[in-house]
Amino acid sequence: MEKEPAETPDEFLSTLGASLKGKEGVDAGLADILKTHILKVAPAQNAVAQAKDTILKLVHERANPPKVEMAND
Amino acid sequence: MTDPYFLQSLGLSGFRAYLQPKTFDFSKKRCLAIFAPNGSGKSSVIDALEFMFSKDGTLERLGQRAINNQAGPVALAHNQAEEAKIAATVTIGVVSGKDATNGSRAATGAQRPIPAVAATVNACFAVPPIIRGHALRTFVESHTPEQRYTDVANWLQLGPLVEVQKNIRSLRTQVKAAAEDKTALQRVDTQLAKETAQAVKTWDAAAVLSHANTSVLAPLDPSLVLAVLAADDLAYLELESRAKAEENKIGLAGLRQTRNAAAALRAETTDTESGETFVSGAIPTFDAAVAVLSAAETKEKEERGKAASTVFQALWKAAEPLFAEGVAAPDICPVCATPVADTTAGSVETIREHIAKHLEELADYAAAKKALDEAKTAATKAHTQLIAALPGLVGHLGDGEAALKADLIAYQAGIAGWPQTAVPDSADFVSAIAKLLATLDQVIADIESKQGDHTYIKAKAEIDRLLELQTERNLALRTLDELGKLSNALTAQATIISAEIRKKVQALLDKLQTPMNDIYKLIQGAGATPIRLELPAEDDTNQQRLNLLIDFAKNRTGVQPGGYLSDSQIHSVALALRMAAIQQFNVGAPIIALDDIVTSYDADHRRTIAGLIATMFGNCQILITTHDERFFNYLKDQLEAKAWHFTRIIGLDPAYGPRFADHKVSDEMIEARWAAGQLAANEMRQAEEEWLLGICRDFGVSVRIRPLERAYSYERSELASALAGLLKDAKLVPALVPGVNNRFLDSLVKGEIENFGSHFQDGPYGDGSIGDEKARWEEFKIFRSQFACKKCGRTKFQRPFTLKKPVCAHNGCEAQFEFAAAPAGMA
Repeated sequence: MEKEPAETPDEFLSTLGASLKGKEGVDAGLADILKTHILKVAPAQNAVAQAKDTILKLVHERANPPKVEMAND
Repeated sequence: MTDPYFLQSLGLSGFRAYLQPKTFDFSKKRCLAIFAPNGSGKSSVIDALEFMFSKDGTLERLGQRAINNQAGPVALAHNQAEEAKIAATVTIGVVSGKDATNGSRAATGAQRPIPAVAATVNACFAVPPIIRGHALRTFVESHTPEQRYTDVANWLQLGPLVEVQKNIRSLRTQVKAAAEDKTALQRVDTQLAKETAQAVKTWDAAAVLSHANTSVLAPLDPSLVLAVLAADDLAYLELESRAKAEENKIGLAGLRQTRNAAAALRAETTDTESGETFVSGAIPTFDAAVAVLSAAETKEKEERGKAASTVFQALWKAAEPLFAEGVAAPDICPVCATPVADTTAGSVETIREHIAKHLEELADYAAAKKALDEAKTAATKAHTQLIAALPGLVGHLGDGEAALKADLIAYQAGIAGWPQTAVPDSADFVSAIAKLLATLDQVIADIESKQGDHTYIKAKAEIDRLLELQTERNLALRTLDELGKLSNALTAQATIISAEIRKKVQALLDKLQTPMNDIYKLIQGAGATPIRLELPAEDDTNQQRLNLLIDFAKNRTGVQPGGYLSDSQIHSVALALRMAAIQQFNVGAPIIALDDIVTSYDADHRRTIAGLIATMFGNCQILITTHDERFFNYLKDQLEAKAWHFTRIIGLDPAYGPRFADHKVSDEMIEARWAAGQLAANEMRQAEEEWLLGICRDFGVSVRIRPLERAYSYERSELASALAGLLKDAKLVPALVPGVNNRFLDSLVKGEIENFGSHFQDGPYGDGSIGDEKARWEEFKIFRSQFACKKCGRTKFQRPFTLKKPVCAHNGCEAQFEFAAAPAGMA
């Protein structure tokens, strides 16, 4: 008789999250967000909202890059 | 690894059809098959299992509340349980290896908590262990691919992955919507339209620049032109410097404020038509109020002197009606009784005039007093206004008007002491204020004629606002750009995630597909078209669907089974999938409950399913209920007696619950019915059939191949004929049975007993009375008693192929079968 799948969903998602981040051409910041909020066996009830908020924060940071040097008045 | 869980016992008390406690013991035989007609309480056994393992302590078909025709949990308990004081409960005993545990679950009350042992076993059920015949078609035909996917993903313990797919899809939708949201840009346009007084309604760099140059800068200085709208543009830097310089001087607004402050103190205006000059302002108002007050004080003082004799006010008032005109005046003084003619006045007329004079003086004083009060109020009000107005001009005056400022400050200090101190003189600086006003009016007129309302400060503020809007717009554009990029990245990563999940799910589906098809083929025959479990194509964005497909024909490949397979085939697909999934994934508790699963099948398929259970699910604990007696017999025929307990419900007693009988009807059971005044025809028929089947199997009788529609129906007459044939060939002749007018086997062939209780008969036992039954049963017992080993008395036989006659099955005996001696009284 076949046994249960050796890899649990938790392990699967954990491996998937790590491999996603390591893939070439993948946006690492976004992969981090997905790993933190979405690729979970028991995600938060508002996981999607949390992930969206974090993505918007990332967008804001990227749209407003910190100035390297401040201009003198 | 933990040993798998098996049920050791299942008890029902006051639950569903079971009023009195009934316990099924699985400790010796772990599998159970129950036969019962519809409505006898067989499904209550499966209900007990469903209830015990249910999360919410109910049954799917009952639901939680009495709505939508669902009875709710109240229907869990037997309707007489409360009256009979029987606690409605289900109990289970569970064993894992050598560890046995028990649990009990109340079927009444609001909570009905699941016992720990049931929760533990339930956790081992990746696939629901109960298969109900009526629900099988639903999975294949009614469920959407999405529902099917959810079910199968749960069986495969992939619930979290389904959740991931759902969440990631929702996230993609939301991020995409945000990337396409132009609200921020629209807000900039709205503000731009407002700032440019609707001249530029939508952002256009050239139009905005043109507006800044022509409408904002040109009125101030046409040579001031921005090359680009930027803070480092040369024209902007010049504008900034001019605005700063303007800030250091008093601008138009400041001049207007100073003028207004001065005018608030004192201003002269000339009516252009009449040429009349009016003076206004807090100083003349106050001066006038003070003058009025002074006059009022003088007047009041004067009137107060005249009215000094007001001490006699009451006297004059009292005397006035006595000496009024037209009234008979008294002849003597009402106070001292001096005759009026002897008084100083000498006559009534003189007294009347005297009274009138004094009363008039009193009225003048009252008017003067009132005027004084009003003048005081007006002066105080004017004083307050003056005190408030003075700092306005003082604050606006610069170094150029230092003398006026000093005069005003001194005046301010003097005024503050009024009314205790005298009003300081304002004449010295009033002319200075008038001069200041004239100068300011001239300067303001000059500025207004030159640049209207425009100032460099205002112009800079407007350009700065445009710069802010430009910054805001650029940020919105960058945000949208970044959001677009991340949205695309999310789509790419979602595709990767989805592909990985798809790979995993498909691999597990493939694992399930093989055993499912093995079972399906066993039921439907080797030629049955295999069923494919397939996810949508890889490029399909919705991967959460599961297709059940078959290649029905060369020109009908990859089609839904529902449209091409027969009822029983669809049933088989669902049954095979569920049973394969249970076997595959419920290894921790390989328990299967099958409730009336063969209704769609013909006899051959029923036999095949019995065979399937025997051959492929020997490692499982199976509970079967069926109302199909033939299927029940097939099960009895094929399943290992050492592992299976067969029982049947022979009736449902509303005041007791289902009445069970073992599959072997004993003589005692028949006699017990008679003792209770009940007919036992059904039991007798069953007993005869069971005996015939047993002896035919032992003797190895030959039966003819029957028509296809009755392929496995071993009827009594057929068995009796076959037994008679074998006995004849072996030259074995049973003794005649007393009272029977032919050989007893003939009576079995004719089935004379089988219609007892339902038909009137012409022949023997025709009226179907208990007496008839007893006579018949006695004859049967006499006949049966001849089939005992003559040597050892045992009743178990066998007949190897090489022998014509059966032999005793007991190893120590093996005597050739001969009919036992005829009982006494035999004919």
